[in-house]
Amino acid sequence: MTPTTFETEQTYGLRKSLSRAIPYILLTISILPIIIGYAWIFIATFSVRTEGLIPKDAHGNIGGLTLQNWSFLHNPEVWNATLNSFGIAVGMVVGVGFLSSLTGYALARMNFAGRKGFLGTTLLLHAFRPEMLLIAIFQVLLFIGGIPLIGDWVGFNTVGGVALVMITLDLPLGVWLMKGFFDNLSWDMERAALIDGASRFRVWWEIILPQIKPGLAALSIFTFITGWNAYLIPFTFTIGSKVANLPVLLNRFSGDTSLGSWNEVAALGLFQLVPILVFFIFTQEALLNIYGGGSKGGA
Amino acid sequence: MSFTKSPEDNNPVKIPGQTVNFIIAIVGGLLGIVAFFLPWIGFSSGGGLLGSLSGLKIGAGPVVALSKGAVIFRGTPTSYLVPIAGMVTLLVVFLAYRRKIIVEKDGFWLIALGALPLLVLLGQFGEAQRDAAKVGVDIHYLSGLIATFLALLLIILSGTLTTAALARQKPSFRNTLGAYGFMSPTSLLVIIFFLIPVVLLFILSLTNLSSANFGDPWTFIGLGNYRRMFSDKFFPKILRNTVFYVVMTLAFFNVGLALALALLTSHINRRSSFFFRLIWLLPRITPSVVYIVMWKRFTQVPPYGIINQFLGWAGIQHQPYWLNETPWLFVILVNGFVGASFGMIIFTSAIEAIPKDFIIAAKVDGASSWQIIKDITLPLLRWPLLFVTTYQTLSLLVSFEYILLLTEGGPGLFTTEVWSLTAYKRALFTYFGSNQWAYGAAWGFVLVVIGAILSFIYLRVFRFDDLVQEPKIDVL
Repeated sequence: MTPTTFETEQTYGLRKSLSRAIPYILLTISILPIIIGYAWIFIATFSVRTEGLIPKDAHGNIGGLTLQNWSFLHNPEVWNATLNSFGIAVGMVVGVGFLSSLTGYALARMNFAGRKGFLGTTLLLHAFRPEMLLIAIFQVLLFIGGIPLIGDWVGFNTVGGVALVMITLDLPLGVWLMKGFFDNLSWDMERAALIDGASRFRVWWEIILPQIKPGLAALSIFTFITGWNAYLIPFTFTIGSKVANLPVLLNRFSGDTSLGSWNEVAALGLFQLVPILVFFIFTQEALLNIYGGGSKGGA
Repeated sequence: MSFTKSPEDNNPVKIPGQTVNFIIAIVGGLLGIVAFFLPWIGFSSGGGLLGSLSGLKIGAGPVVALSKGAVIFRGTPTSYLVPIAGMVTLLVVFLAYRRKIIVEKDGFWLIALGALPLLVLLGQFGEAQRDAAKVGVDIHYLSGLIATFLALLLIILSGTLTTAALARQKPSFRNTLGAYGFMSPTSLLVIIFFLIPVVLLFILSLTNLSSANFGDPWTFIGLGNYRRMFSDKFFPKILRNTVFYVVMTLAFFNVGLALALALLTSHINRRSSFFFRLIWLLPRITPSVVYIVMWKRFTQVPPYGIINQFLGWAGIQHQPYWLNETPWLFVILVNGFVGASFGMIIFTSAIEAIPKDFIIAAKVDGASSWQIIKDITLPLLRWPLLFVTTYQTLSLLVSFEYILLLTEGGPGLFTTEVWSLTAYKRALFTYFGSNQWAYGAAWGFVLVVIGAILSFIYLRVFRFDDLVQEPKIDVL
């Protein structure tokens, strides 16, 4: 490309590379708080104490790297919370994946009375934010908790109840995503199978589901992260440490811990971050797609 | 309820086994009615236990409580639900017989008639046992309860049999039934945890329910909670906070910074732009509690705080606890860093969708980067901009998780308290010794109405109904 101004080649080149550099500089500045936040978590986890970002040992000198902050791994309460977190996350992956691919299939491929109404409701709920409903869901869960047998599993103050509420609140998104995947699927195989006399359920299970594995995987990553990170709903619908999940435990722990020993808080935080970072490193492309196109209200 | 029309719908068929199904329904219906009167003829009913204390507790028959020798009768809403179900069941069967045909509706009606009271009854069961234990009321409830359960189960059974028989007979109905099978688990959950809570939230907001009078019958006080809300001393402050929070976060982060990030990343090479966008996604996928721990650490007093450490290096002596010093700054920063990524991703894909010809043509004409952005990119981003703005307005208005974790509405009185947080705290935190569910519900319901209206409008504006296309596979 030839210069259009009367500058010399050299100054033009300089100016151009400078203007090329500006976006990089601005973007690097913008991500600094995120980087620093994460840096603190890592530094604090492995040091006796931190002042700002600087690790210090007991005498106030720089250094003092240690693994003692991980002693919480001996605490059964932490493992119980981990199990609860994992239960909620896996419950969400299975529940949302299964239910929304069932419903998404019906909406994409079947013609039945009330289909338009179901689709409209899905869309409306998809745009709607359910946080305020927690007040009423509280009463619903209390009610369910009174039912014999069922109540012990999915009532108020149970992991099952928390998972069920979280599954339901994510269903409109899941159904909408799944319907999109089914819509883009060729239907020749399915049609052939139906003509050969296979039932709808068998077609769905044996022919359709294997074809949308990538979509299901993306939805699973999204729901796992949602379930693993969940704070508000577990916090609202559980009491006591038996049913607390990791975020609830961490929040209580950070409130009880003096500022000087927040290194243990950081360690527990990093412990909770592990699965998230694994997803972050290995499924980057999928993550950006999910939170852009697939996220709530994504056009 | 109307189903997919097909020719054979006009030629009703006589279903084999129909009579048996209906006999089962008739027995169930009669039993349902009898169960209601059991208490009067010497048997105690489920309702006696169920309603022992609270008038609104729901039972099978009218409440019969033997308390210190005295017999108390008290009717409850669902105590009437069971006999009504019984009577309607008989009516359905009678009509179906008169018509000499059987239609889809009959089966569904019967199932619903049995299932609804059964669901309510089950819900009250455990609570009633606790109530009875609490007051030491001695009731033998089994006879009534068994009769009621049996009645409802029979009605459901008959409906299921009728529906199944019909499905065997008619292919078009089988298809519809199959689709409902696929839809029903999701629908059930959505009804229990979405639709019922919306209605319940409104009903709650008209009562005076709190943890102080929990267990008593609900007392309806009309619009009292709403009047109390609007005359609250802090109402103007909370309203101002909400508007301030939404507008500032939107303008500076969720739309402003998001747009800036999208424009900047689209002007650098692909690999690094991917990297920057990925880093910006981190706050969104970081567990909220861990994310808040990081931010609290930023703002701490010396020697712990990271900001203060930087200030120290810069030689600035003013090193307060920044979260208390400038709470709003951090509330907006914390939410903004999470919110910006959504707009960034949407805008980036919109910018990438702009035909390259436009940009090349402009460059050939000698336009600068800024001119290209101003005259080509931004006008073409009009719809994504509107989309992100409306969508994020809605979510900022209703979500409060990060504020709850960061400041809990403080420091001090209502400094960073927004509308949604007020609703949540009033209902589910202990205020003046009690959870004021009803009052919180009033605050919350206003937001639900606003949210429903906004999401409806925005579906209309963005023509989401166009997406509701016909299914590819019809009936073969």
